[in-house]
Amino acid sequence: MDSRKPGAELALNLRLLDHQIMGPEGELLGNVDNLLMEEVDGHWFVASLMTGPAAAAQRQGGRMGRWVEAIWRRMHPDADPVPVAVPLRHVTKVDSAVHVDESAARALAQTQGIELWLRENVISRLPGGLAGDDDDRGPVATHRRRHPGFEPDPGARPIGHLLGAEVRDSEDSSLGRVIELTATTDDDGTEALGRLRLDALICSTSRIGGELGYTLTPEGPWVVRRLVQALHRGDRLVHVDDLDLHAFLAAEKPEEGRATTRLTVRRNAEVTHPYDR
Amino acid sequence: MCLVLSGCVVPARDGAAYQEDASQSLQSATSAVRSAELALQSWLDGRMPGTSADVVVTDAEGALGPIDVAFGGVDPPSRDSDKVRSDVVGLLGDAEDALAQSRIAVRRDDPEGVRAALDALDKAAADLEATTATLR
Amino acid sequence: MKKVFAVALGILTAIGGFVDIGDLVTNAAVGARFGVSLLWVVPVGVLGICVFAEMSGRVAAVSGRATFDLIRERLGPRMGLLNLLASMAVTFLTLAAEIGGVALALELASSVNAYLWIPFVGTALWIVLWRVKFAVLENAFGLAGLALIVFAVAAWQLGPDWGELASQAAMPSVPATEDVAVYAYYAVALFGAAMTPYEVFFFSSGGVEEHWKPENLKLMRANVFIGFPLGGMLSVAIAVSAATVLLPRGIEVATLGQVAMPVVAATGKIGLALVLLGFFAATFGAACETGLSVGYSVSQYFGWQWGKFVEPLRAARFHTVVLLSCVAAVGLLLTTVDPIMLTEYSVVFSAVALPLTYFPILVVANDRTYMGEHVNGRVANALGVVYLVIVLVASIAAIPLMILTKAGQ
Repeated sequence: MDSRKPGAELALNLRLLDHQIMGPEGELLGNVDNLLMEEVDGHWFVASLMTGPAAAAQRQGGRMGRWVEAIWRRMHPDADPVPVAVPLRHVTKVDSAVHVDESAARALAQTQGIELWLRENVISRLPGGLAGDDDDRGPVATHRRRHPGFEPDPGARPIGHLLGAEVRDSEDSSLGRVIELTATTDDDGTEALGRLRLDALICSTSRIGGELGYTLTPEGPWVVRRLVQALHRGDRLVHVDDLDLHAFLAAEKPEEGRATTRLTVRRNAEVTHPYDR
Repeated sequence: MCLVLSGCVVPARDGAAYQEDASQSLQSATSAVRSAELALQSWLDGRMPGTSADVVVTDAEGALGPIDVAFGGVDPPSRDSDKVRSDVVGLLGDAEDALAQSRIAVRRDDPEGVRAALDALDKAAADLEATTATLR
Repeated sequence: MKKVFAVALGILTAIGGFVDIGDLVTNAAVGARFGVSLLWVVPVGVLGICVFAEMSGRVAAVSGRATFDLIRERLGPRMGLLNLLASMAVTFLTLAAEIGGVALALELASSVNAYLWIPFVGTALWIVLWRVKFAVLENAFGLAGLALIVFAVAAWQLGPDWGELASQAAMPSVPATEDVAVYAYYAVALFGAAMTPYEVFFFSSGGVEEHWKPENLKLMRANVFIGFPLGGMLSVAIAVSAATVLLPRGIEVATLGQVAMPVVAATGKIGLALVLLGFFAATFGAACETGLSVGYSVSQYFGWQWGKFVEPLRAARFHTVVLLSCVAAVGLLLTTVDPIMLTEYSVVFSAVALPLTYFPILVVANDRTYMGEHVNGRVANALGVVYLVIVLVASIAAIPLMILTKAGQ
């Protein structure tokens, strides 16, 4: 997949969320735990990706999420800790991993608290901790540094708020919950992935198999494909223009849950099964 | 497996269940005795070093203790079962004696003693097997 | 010439590395109790692990993603986390069983009590995982594990009635003295021993450690489809020799010494020496694999840097997890739990946890976006679906059978 081609479609849950983040030297820098969206001129864009315990906790939500976030705050050396967010202009390629450029790799490496603490206090004190097979790589990060360019924008909203939200049609009957979002790349004339424009969301009444990768195209061995198709025959694709995302996302502060918990599809909107696009 | 087996002999509700317990215990004991016998014979034939034979014999002896304790701890459900109990406890005791004799002989590197222990093991195993057959 | 050597080395280590404490104990126990009437499970399990390992190896070579990356990606963070906890528990149980197996092998060789060996084995294991290069670790123990071929020699020397054995194995039936549920329970255990989830974590992560590319696929397939079945032959030899020596004597397998007795009876001291070397190499090698697998799966779930292809300082969390799991496994064993019993439980729980790992791999191996031309073909998918059903049945049946038979009484 050439994700840099302008107009290329990306299924966010399938192709970005929970994927490995990789630096230019192949270093593994965490998984994509959350994505941040911003509103520009009435359109919603995926602007940056987040990783780490705070981002994962925010996406998880509920008691478990709050608990993890509280521990993260308590353990963090800063008085008011800010999670790290990588703007998508630092993403160079999306394949089975999400590749980021050198500055983003540095920012991620220097903000992973547990790793840095273990490096300094455990591993480097064990005999042989410094030896290895990779002499040709750059120096190892051992100290925390803040990277102001890699912090979430105050107006940004985590995508975790959209995933799992309930969608209703104009007659107020439920279409299910959001399981997938599609976005297209925006041409900004650079090599980077850049921000992604949110196109549509897919909601489903089935809670099983939403991330297997069969939401947009039927694939896989016959039996599994049939089973997933049967479970997901009620899936519906709704274009973002047919929803009031602003009311849903912008009206609330990220810390305090959702102002409204459901999205309502506009009257006369075209709602189809994702395979029938 | 016989450790697990012996560890959880089920409390007997009736005579048949008690016989089943007895038969399980005897089979586990047979397994231990026959293992020791095989090890001693191999040692005598020069096919197994004393160190390894010692481990097999010691393991066998160690397996018998829990079998004994577990079976001895089950109350016979009626007077009719008392004979089964005394027979089995007696046989397990004989097997333990034979195994202890084997352990001592093999640790001493004493071929005469090992031969004597082999006879004792064979007799113990044969008795165990014969009684198991009557319980079926 | 170099290529031939690489192919041969890969196949040999696949054979020698195939057997672990689970295979040793379960095959001997089944042979001693059921003769060859349950042997049909071994080829079913071996073909299963071939299908499964080939898929995960292919995905690793083409996409660079190891198994647990895919599990989280396709099941989401919540289901992925549950999966991680279950898989880690099983792998950890197996790690403890393998360390116990090494200690038991050392006890047989030295007559020094196994529990005295356990702390030393745990320390040695950690030093190897910490310091020894991945390729050395994989090849050394795999090659030394080939010593277990002595089981095949023993089976040959014992000279059972091969025609009779073959007809019994080909027409399996439940022995008259055994319950159907017990027979089924041991079938699940034998299946779980052949197809353990850690093998796939290790195999796919090992592919990433060794920087496999699509051009390595041929070599990988040769290792899997030649090496694993030959390794499976060792399992068969263990069961046949137990069926020949232990079954007639009424010996049930409860110790590692009893697993070795058929070889002693057939080939004497040299055979015993080889068996002990084989036991040591197979269990220590598998302890390395399971120890690393715990680290691999946790790190991949969270996206942490993992692997022995970077210096330890770069993968501090990974190495800390590995260190902690070695310490915890030693701690578990020092509660004087019987390692053989631990092994018997670990193979059954392996069968329970198998679908969790298997299903996401089957799905990703079908993803054209990742796999391109290397996507699953018809044969891989047909086998893949057949095994999905088998794995599900074994997984669902395992716990009820365990309760029903009181763990195989």
